[in-house]
Amino acid sequence: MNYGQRGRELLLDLKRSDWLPPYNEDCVRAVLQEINSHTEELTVLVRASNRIAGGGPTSSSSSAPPPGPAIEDRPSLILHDVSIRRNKRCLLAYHAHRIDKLRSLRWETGMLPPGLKFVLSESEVDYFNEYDKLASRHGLSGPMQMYDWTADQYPPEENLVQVRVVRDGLGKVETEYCGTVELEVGSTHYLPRGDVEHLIRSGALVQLSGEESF
Amino acid sequence: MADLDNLLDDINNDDESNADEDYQDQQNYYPGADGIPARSGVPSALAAAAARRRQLGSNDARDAGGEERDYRAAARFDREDDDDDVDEEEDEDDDGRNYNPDYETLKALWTSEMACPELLPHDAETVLHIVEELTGKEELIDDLIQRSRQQGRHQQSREASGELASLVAQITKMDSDRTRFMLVDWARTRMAKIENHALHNRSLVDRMTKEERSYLRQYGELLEKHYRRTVLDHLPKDAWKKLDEPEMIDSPDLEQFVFCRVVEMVQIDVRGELGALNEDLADEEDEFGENIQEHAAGSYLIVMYKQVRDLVLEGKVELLM
Repeated sequence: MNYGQRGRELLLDLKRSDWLPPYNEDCVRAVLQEINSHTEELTVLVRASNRIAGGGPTSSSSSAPPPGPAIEDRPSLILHDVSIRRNKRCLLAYHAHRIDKLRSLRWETGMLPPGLKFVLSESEVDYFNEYDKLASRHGLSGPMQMYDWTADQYPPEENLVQVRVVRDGLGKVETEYCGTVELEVGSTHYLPRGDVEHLIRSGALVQLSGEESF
Repeated sequence: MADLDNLLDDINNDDESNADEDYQDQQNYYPGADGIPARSGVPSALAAAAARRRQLGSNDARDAGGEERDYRAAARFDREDDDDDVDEEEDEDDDGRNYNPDYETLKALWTSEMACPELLPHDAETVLHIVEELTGKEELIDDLIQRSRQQGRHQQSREASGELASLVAQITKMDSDRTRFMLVDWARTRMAKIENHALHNRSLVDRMTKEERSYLRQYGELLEKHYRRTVLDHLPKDAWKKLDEPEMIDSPDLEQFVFCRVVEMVQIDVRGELGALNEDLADEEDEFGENIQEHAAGSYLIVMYKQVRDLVLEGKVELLM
């Protein structure tokens, strides 16, 4: 068996993909399996060395070996222990990277796009939902509770923005001081940024800029 | 923010000045007349332009030269009035800008937080002040929009001041939007930092607010739950199930290089980490004191964060983006 290979494979998987690769459950399980086999061998070794230490001669007290496993067993013990730690580290890094991406996804879109669900594990979907709840709750505590924390990902430049509607069936939108506006596919509008920002972020409207808007 | 308050004053005065507009108009007919009384809160250039427009509508017959002179007279009064204002308003800057200390503090907090690899102390007082100010501005915007609508609807001739109110509303809105963005983005940056180094930040709880502390705790629980479910629970022995062994805790990269500005004279030890190989060399240099650099206030540096960390916390060095 190629020790340590699967853990590396997991991390390379992350590196090769654009956003996130599908959750590689088989590989994760294989790494956990590897950890288990290391543990088994480790237990056997420890038992064996204990037996020797326990049954060995204890007569010459002056030159007694230091307590613990025999010197010739130590390298393999250490090697197994280090392998387990390395595999654990690979696994944690794999999961940590994935939830980092999930967190930034939450700030960008505010919800889990259905098309992305298949790349996540069950536990990750739960994590996303709970994180979403937690972050919203944090936004609602303290002195800044009246502001929308997910609005304005970038510094605001204009009060009014030129937008084109690209999604069907948005209906009407209520604006602060432009009255109610009917959002038909293909039409362009000049609307207060705050009122349509969430639609721009979810991709229902496209913000036009520069030459395009005229 | 520059002339916004002047504009606001002007709008408020507008209602009163309507009453004696006849008198003013009279003055305008005879631009050469001396001793034009200084109105309280003389408008800034924008307001003057609006007034001029009003006159244009009401008085086509007047010659352009008189108009020009009239405009200059208004501008002169404007300047004199500004000079008087300086005594009354202590917050006014040299270049006549309104200087808002809370806003400047917020800006500094935000830029430092963005540039700094680790979490910086929170400033609850500034946040409260800014929030109060933003609330006040929102009311002001609503009020102005209301006013511009009413005036726009009722009297055609009063349109100029309606437009002015609407313009001021837009400027105020832009201003408060930007301030709000900084405030919220600052809070978001802090939140992201708390999440990224959740375990490490347990040692920095004194830099957080009550809400942030409870958020850290809750997020830590969530994180641990996720790791337990995916990895740790499948590990065979308790000894390996730990998540908080010292070498596992991900801490911010304090050796990152940052841009900073020196606020007051500082001494920076630029020696950094030394390997065993050039230790002798370092000792030699130490004798000459070449590792300590002195930087005067106002100089800009690119330096490893670790070496200015204490100075940043003392406020002697400002981080820039």
